[in-house]
Amino acid sequence: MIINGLFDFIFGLANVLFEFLPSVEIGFGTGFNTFLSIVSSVAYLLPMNTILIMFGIIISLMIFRIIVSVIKTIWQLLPIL
Amino acid sequence: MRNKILVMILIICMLTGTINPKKSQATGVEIAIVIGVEVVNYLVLASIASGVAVEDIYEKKNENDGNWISVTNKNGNQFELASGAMYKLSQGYAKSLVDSLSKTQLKELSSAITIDNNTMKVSNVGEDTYNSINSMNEMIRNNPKLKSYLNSDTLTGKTMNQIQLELLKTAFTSIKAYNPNMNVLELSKTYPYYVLFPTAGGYGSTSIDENKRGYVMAFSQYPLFATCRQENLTGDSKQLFYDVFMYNGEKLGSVNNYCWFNSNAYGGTTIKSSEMTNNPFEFWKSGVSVVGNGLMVVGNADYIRLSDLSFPNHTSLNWERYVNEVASRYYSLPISCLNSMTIDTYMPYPKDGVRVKEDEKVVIPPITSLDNVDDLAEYVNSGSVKDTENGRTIDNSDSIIRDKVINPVLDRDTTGNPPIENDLSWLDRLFEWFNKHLTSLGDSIVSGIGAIINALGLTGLIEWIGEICGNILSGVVDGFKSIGNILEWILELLGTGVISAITGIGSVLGDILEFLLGLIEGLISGFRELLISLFVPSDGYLDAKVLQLRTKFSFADGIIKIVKGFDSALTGTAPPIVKLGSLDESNKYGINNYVLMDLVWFKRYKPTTDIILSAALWVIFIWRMFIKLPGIIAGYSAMTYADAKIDEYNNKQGKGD
Repeated sequence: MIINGLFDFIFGLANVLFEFLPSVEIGFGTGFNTFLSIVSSVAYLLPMNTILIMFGIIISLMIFRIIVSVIKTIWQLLPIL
Repeated sequence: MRNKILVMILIICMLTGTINPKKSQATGVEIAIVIGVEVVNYLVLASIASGVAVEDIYEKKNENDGNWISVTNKNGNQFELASGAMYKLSQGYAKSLVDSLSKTQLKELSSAITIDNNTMKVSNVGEDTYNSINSMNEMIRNNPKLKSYLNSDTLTGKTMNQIQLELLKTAFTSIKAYNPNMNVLELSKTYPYYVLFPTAGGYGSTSIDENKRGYVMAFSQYPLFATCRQENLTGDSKQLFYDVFMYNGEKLGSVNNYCWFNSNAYGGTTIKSSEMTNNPFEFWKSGVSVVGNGLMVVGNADYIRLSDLSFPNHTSLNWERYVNEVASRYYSLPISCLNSMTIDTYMPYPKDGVRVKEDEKVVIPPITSLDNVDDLAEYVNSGSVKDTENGRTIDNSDSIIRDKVINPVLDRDTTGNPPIENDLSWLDRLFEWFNKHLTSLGDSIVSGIGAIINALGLTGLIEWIGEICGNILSGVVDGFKSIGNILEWILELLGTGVISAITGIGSVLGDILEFLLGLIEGLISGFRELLISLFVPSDGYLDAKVLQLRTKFSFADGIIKIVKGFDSALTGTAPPIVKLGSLDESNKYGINNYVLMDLVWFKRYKPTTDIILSAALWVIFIWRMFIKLPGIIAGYSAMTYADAKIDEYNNKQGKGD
């Protein structure tokens, strides 16, 4: 009963806020399916497995660079060094 | 336990001979309604029976003689049938059959069978079943090659796809050998039955008449035989019934004067008219088997997609194996009497071709080039197998019956309620988690309050009060009873009537006090219930709230679907076909799906081009990485690294900025 009341209040509050949200419907249309088919066709012509691996390597290296840069920046900011 | 389970399976098959086609619900022996009485039954029976044999006596099996199962009919006649390696091929049937029965039915049926050493004894088999099984058994016993096959491990190590393709090839080779000049389409018009597509564990067939064309196919989870039916293609009355059992291109045996399709045994149905559809696949997906003209099309319910069978120069056929999962939850029987459905209901179909379901798409091979058996055989024989993660390998250690089939069945819900949807969206899962934890929060609150009460000694106090009251009341009761005893002793001297009256008073008072004691205990438990009612949300309360909120976030599923669409577009392995989409009547160019681009032709070149392009890409990529390596190690780009070095040099030379 108490918990019910508590959640009535919380959900009621949330509902008031959500009432301002417009009804959004996102879905496939025929045109989108055609677009996906074209993307799929292009991807089918390429060695996507290889490309995805390379993409993964690039992302990994970028993360590595960022980490190194952060460490170096912190190192330079330290006044005692 | 193992034997008991397998015995149940066998019994289900054995009792399929007593027929009452129109009965809608079956129990016990009436399960016989479900399945036909001839070859199918025998194969199911033999294979599943051999499951018992394999389980119990497989190691002792004799290559020549196999093991034997004793079958006795109601008149006391008896024969034995061979068993063997078919165990490994038949688990799909076993599953669908077992799934079809409730626990009560399983228990009821299991009482008709006993196992004596290496022989399984089945009694009270229906006469039709007995005769048909016996005739098949004789055929097998007289055919050493087939018998050897039954007891061999031929299929060990092969994947489902390999087996399926081999079965297809052998079947069409057989058709070609039988009559190379037959025109499949024309014959099918004359004989609107079936152009057989032998498949693993069941079969598919095309059904074509003058006005309607359709394609149905079905598979069991595991293959039994490649059976090739040729009679309906030729119309030769002398060869009306001719089954060929083949494997690996080798003819293992054949049966004359025996018609698979002539079975008049159909399953009772629980299908409602509202559940009917024009698409046979929809039946299968919704958990209904299709039976027509005695043709048992196995394969109801959920399907598991196997890998593609690729046919160069044509498109790909996606073979799916069907397992009986949904059906067992929606319907009490796996096979439904849909004779009229299969006759009258054909999938709407264009001029030529075979329609094959490929997920939600329909792929139509150019069947116009396959209008004779030669082409048909060539078409199938051009196939190749691409094993995937779904390509299940059959091995001797397979214990699907015991671990994956039987146990879940015994635990399943037989109330007929629809299954719980497991495919939750992320939002559902989120709210499910929320709901679950809130419920546990409620419990925690209750237990927390209980702990506080415990910590404060209140529970002890309440219990102490209860105990004190109980003790006091019990003491009073005992006291009254003691008084009664004393009075009894005293008044014994005065007379029996007075004694009984006084002891009666003491007893009544004791009962009253016991009632009060119970009342106090009730109050204590009531206090607990009160806490629960105060702090634990009522059943379904949060579900309703979650549902209310979820409607506001329904777009999230659409986003997920789009992302998945991109993912499948980028990683898909099937050759894409770009279509213009459905045009409505207002379009002047017609109403249809127009193919803009079809990359099926590229499929055969893709492996080679992938290798070439990959090699080039890797060379370029590695070179680029090599160039950038200093920058990567230093934590910034190569150009920045070079600038820094120049600056450093200039500073040393005193030429800094």
